Amino acid sequence: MPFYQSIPEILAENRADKTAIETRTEMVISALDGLGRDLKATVFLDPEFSHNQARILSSGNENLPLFGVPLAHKELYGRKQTEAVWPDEGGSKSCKGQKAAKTATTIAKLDSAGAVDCGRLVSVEYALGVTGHNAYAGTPRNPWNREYICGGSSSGSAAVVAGGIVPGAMGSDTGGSIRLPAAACGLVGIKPTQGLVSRSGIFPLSTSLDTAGPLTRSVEDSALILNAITGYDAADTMSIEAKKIDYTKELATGLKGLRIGLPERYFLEGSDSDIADKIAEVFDRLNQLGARGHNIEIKGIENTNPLNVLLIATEATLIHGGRLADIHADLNAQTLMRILTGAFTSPQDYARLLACRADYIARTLPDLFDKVDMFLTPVWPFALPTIEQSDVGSNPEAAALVQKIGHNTRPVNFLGLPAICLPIGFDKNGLPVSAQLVGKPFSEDLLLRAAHAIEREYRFWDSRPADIKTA
Amino acid sequence: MEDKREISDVKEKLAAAGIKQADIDLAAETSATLLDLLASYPLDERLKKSVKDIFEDAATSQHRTVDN
Repeated sequence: MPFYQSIPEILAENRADKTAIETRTEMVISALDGLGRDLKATVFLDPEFSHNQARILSSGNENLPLFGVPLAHKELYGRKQTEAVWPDEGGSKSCKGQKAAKTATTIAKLDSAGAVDCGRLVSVEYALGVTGHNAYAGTPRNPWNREYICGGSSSGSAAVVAGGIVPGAMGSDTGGSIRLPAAACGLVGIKPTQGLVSRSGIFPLSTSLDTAGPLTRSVEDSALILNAITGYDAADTMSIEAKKIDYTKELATGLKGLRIGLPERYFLEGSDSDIADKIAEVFDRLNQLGARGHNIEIKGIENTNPLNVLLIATEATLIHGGRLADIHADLNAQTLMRILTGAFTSPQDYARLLACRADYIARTLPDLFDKVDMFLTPVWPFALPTIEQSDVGSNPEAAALVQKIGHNTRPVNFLGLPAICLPIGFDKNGLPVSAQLVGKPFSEDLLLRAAHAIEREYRFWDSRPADIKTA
Repeated sequence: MEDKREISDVKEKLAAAGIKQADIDLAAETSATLLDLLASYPLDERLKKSVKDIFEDAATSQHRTVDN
């Protein structure tokens, strides 16, 4: 039973032979304990719980949409029930010993869909970081080259999916924290529309901006997980009741008729030329495949990155700042710096910031999506750095680096829009390069359809990390 | 004067919490740059809808413009 299986492959095997669920669960747990720890990605395992879940599933309804599929998730996703109260330390020494307050709604939905929960994976502290560094929990290694970062903050999730251990893992994205690690590790990552997926039970960073979504190796696997996790949740104050869609239904429909924009100013011009050239090449290929592409301009987009940084810092302070006297010595220097930045936002400034965000969204979206269905950008604006190169701690370079890494991702969070990233090749150092498609609200199905066409064209996962040994 | 008093109040509170002055000063500097940008945004105060309102409207009017 090899690793690097897709969800459909796993489902087929499980439905043909239900004993495969328990066998595979055991292999995955073993791999999370072995390779997962080797990659510095595994935080917590509860083999008894996972085996019990697998055992119950193996005598149950085989028509469940994720029947026996083993997944593992970012540490921020809580699990609390009679038989299992898992740790939820937020990736931080400041929360050492903290247990989950509740089972995250998303986790409960995945349980109901038949998935096996195999454990928790490293997150950057408080989800406040884009490189993946975590002095307390460990800095996950990129399976494509272990000297390189996985990106953050869903670093552990990216490492174990790219390492072939599980087909998917949940992450969270407030400024790029699903897309940056997905892109760094050659994965598909979805940041859903604001309000589409519940954040209840997930360790919070920003009330306004947090989103929850999957990292997978294929577009279809992302669609299958998205099907399981979307839906209104009254426990999440930002949750929105949207039409329930089967995200797999139109995957293979192709690009014909899709209007795709290329915002050269800011996105391409703000990225290194070799990255921009790759994106321009993807854009040309999409046109050849039937899309209707044209250049677009998004006025004021350059302000959204710093305003996103400010909103994250402000809301992180509101959530965590009351404990600063007790915890500051236990925080990573970069986390502390970003929370401190938010401490200077007055209530009046915060109200203005929320109003400006609403104003910018209201002004920008109608005109933008009158012209296009989605637009194409890079994800990382430059070649992926090594763990050593990007370990800048809290020196004055850190703020600029953090802002630069999120150049292409934070505007999307500020706008609340859905986005999907997927790999399109390799950079000069042999690390993955990815493209991002950003759509109008609640258009995840169109994004998945376009991504599926790109995936078939570029066939990224025909190659695999050279030093990952599969079973 | 009002802004400077508020900033110094925040700095004092953070210092009293045991945070290093250099960290406080750097954070204040970073914050000031971001708050200046916020202040310069041409906000139309007639818009009363929140972000959630906008997305709820979008959810109820999901439509397609694509020809298959």
